[in-house]
Amino acid sequence: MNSIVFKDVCKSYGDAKIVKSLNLEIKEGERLILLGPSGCGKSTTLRMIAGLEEITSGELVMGGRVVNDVPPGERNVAMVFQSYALFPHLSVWDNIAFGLKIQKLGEDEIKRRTTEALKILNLQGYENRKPKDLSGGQKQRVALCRALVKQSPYFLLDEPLSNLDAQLRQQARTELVRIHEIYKPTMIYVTHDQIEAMTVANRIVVMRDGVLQQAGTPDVIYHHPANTFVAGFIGSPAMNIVSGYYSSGKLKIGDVVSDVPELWQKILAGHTNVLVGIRPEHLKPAADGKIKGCVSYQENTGNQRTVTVNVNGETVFVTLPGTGAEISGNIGLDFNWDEVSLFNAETKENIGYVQKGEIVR
Amino acid sequence: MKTDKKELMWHIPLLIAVFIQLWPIVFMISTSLKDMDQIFQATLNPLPFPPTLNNYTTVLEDFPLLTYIYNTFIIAAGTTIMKVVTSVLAAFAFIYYDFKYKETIFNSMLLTFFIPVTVLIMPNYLLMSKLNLLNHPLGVMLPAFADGMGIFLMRQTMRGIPKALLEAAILDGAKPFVILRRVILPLIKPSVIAVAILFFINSWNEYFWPLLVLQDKEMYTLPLALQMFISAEGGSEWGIAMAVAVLTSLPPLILYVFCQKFILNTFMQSGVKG
Repeated sequence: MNSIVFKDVCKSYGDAKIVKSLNLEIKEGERLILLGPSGCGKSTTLRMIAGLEEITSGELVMGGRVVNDVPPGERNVAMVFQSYALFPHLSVWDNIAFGLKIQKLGEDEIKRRTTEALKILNLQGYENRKPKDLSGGQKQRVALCRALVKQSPYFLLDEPLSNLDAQLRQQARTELVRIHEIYKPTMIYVTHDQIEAMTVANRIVVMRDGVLQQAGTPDVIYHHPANTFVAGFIGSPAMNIVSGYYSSGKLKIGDVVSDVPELWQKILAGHTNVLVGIRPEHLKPAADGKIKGCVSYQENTGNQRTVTVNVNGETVFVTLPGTGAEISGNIGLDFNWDEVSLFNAETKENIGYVQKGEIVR
Repeated sequence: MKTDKKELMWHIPLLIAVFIQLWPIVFMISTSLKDMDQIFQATLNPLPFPPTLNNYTTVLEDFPLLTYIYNTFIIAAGTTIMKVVTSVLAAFAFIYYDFKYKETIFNSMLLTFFIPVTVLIMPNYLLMSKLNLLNHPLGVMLPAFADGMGIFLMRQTMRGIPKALLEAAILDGAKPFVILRRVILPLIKPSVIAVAILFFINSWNEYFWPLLVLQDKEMYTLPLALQMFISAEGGSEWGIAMAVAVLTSLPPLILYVFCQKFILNTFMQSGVKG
């Protein structure tokens, strides 16, 4: 019963609307990632769950209870802050045990839980150090420990890895997932890092300007973005979006006209100007491809080449294996219809895709 | 280290300023070590020859110095404790709570800096008189129990504490006073000590207000006792007066020397982070 439900939740500061009419259900034990660029309202959403921000309108239900007016200390949430928020005057041990002491748990219980948390996060031997004597990665783990010992049903993380270097970040990601697997709390994790989102999440919620754009599994978000914003935000390089013109069973991209298979004709029926979204790795060089353009730049990172192609003034990225035949000049590019996202040119919304032979809209 | 000529030019007025500041202290110490003849023959000569401790012996033997020290200490310590308590509590309220007119209240409190002490003397005196606290140490202390400067300095220091620390404690279910005691106070301890020392020294040296409130000589503080030697009452016992002056200024001076670092830090913080 430790689910979290947002019902039409709005948050504004004066006239500035930070979160606009959010409707979202977070299931018990789920790892949910709130993803979006800075200022999209994801941190505010997290802080509303913690109770650190008041809700302007709407209802927030946690574990079946409306918590709009429940003070933060009574919501039983554990939170990891971006800055870690370790108490500089307390040792690692006292930092971790702080919350338990406030809750007036028994001496033995505090000792048991703290020792266990230190063990899980490999911090034995650091108990007596002060935060200033720890490295960034260790501080981050102490912060995790502090959240962990509370054994709260809700685990909130506000960009917990953004102060770590790339290598540590990968380790920490794995650690986070491992810890979640031990206690299975309902975990809400805020990040602007799409790799973190893709690797940690059961489900990703993409936000922009306070509005929920799409909620779905990493797979769905990646392969079937709900609109061009999500398409452009996830993936590096981002999904290519090229303009197309559809008319009676034929799609024209640039100067090339190609036949549209029957199922996709049904999706495109009623549309003329569309945006065609194709992931860079789903484009293959082919002389008789559905797209034609001119190579303008190539970047080789060893395992992968990223080729920039100019298609009628629009830039298209193609990723190819690091080794292979050189390509240059005018080339054709082909794609598989199963791997294409189609968007309305005006609303920028996804107009539907085919899954297992069925049309999904 | 080399100092070029241009810089040297700037040192001259500074050296003069230092001399002006230090001269009274040098004068005080040297006069306290001179006998009466030397005082009147070589008034400005900073070197007593031969130096004598007679003045100090007289003071310690004939003068109820301990009573004055005790009186001064009680008033200074009481004022300091109460001022620190009110400053910390008020500053905490300004930091922790959101309430209507918070900024207005804070700003009007800042305005009190600009009210000259002399303006407050009349109302304070009348108030103490109505409360029957004239000629009582509490009458000296009471008007000084809260202080705008103290609240301002404490608030500035508390503002330096990252908000996330307080939020982390709130999420752990800590009540406001627990947060104040277990998170904020340990973090601002150096500043609290610094402010306390400043309050103590100020109160120790206070002359005018105790002079108005205290009438019985047994209640006098050190600065008041000192005045007895140089006023018409006490005659012109300069050597003894200066010996008492040295003894009076010694405690705050020692306090300051030991705690200089805290005090400077507090003022620097209030500037940088304000």
